[in-house]
Amino acid sequence: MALRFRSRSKRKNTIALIAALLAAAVLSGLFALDYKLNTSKHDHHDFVMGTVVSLKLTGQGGPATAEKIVKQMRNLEYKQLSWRVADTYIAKANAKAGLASFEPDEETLRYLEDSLKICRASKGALDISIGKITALWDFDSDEKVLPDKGEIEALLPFVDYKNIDLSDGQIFVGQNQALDMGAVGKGIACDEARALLRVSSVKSAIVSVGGSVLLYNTEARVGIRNPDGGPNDYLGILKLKNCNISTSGNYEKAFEFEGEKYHHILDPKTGYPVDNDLAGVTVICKDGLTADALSTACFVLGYKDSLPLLEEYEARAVFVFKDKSVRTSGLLEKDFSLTDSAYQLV
Amino acid sequence: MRKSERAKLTGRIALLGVLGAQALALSFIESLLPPLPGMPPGAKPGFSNIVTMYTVSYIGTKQALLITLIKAIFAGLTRGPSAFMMSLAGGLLSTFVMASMLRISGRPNGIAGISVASAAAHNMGQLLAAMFLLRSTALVGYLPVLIFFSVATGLVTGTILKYLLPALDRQSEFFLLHK
Amino acid sequence: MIKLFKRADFYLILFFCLLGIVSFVPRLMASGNMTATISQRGQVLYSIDLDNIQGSYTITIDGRPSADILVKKGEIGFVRATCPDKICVKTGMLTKPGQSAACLPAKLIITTGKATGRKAPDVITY
Repeated sequence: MALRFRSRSKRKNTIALIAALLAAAVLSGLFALDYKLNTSKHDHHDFVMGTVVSLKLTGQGGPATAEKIVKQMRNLEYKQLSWRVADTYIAKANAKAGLASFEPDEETLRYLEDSLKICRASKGALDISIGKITALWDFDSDEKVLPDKGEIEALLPFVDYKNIDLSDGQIFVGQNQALDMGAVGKGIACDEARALLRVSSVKSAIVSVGGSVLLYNTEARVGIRNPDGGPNDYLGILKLKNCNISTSGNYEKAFEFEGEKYHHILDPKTGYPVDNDLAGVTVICKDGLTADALSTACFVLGYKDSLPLLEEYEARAVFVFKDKSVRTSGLLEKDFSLTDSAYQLV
Repeated sequence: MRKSERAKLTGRIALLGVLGAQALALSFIESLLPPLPGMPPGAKPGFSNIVTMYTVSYIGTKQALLITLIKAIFAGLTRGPSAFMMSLAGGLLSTFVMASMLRISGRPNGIAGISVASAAAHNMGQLLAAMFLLRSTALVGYLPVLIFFSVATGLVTGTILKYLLPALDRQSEFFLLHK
Repeated sequence: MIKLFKRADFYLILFFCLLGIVSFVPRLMASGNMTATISQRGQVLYSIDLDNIQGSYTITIDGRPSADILVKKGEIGFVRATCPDKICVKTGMLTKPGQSAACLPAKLIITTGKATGRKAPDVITY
């Protein structure tokens, strides 16, 4: 066909073409730069609070933000929350138990207040005053031995969150009590990470502190650990967005002694590891402290008694039973799918 | 400039504008299609190649490159920077292949062959851009499916072009020869 | 008038189909892209492409405790550690993207990279 049209001046055309291509090159360069800055990924793995911290950051300033987050988590452990470290606010308050009150920083006080709220809401299924008994069990020591039964029974009557007083910005720990923030520490660490991420240029992040997960500005597939498998085995996958996820299970820090299995979640009523029909509970809610606290409380309470508590906090949950049945609460079918055929959704 | 020449120029500009709009419309319709199973996200039949091919063979390579650029900018504005890069890479490579094949002396290939080759070039260009953007060579795994996909879509768009040719010619005549 | 099909088009299409078949071959032989990262105290010590390993080798991380990491084609994992609990060794070999094995006392962690298009979870809650 003879419709090819030629411009008046070939040279002008060529100049226009070169200009257009140049513009395209500059534009694509700018776009590529923008894309790179907004999608560059940084993975960081570290060890805090006796567990693994994994940060998967997308966006600008990943390495610096990761460093800040880890530093903040260390601060949380060594200055504020750990009862094992002598100089933390919690340890100092514990040292004055029954004698005097201690003034911590505002943050520690807020964490304690929030934790106590859930102690009350769960009617003591979560009890942060259990520290003396946790210390007897000492799940982090290398030698796995059972604590003395008499000692547990002697301390058990003193486990009562109601004896912790937080008035006037002071912590008062009751006689023969000790605070143990172990059940909520990792969740608090996730909350601290979120606060730092908000003021950073990081666009989205997946944070895991020992299995307590924060999904910041992102959707992710979250595997629920298979209680019968190893650390990399999962029984199902949650598809979630912008939330915190926490799991309490009977396999963590577990040890066997004279044929009996013991795990690290203690029932505040007995002083011994929780022994019910549950193998694990995963709780999903809007902040880390609540997710951590509720997963422990629900694990202690059992499926039925957990439901009102979950409702009160607008939390969702997956219950995994020892008989390999799985129940969900507040989750839609599309949010959760079983991947291990040994388990059954009921 | 004589009056008739100015009218001619206006006609050319208008024709290019209409062809550009047609290319955009076709790629917009494509973007509404659901992702094809087994294909990398973003693999499309490439119906706008119909317009590009017509432009290369009946109007000129430079004009076709311009349409490619407009398409890329449109993709960038509506779907973001990475879409711009992908569209530009695919568009430039396929236009280059079309223009080269049309210039082979004796022109051994028909519309179908050129269309298949340019569809393949388009997909390769997009794949290369995606690999560059994601800094990942894992996407090479999509190569075989993409090749078969290109053969299929190339045949489809080539056939459509063959039957659209009279209409497209009438459209060009309207703009270029209108008194 | 330009033709829809010419003889050369058949050869061209045949060529593309053959190219498609040929490019399937490497996929049948490879197991998919899997990478592993070994890091200690937040520092990356090794990044390994697990698909391009001939035979196997062991990386020894000195310190207290020390640990041996076995690297094979498509597999990586702790095989020996002088820590008390040996959880890292019990975790076994990592064979899929998105897995991890950690030795807490040695502050060591191995993670395997996620290949695109896999259905593995992004993170595991425990």
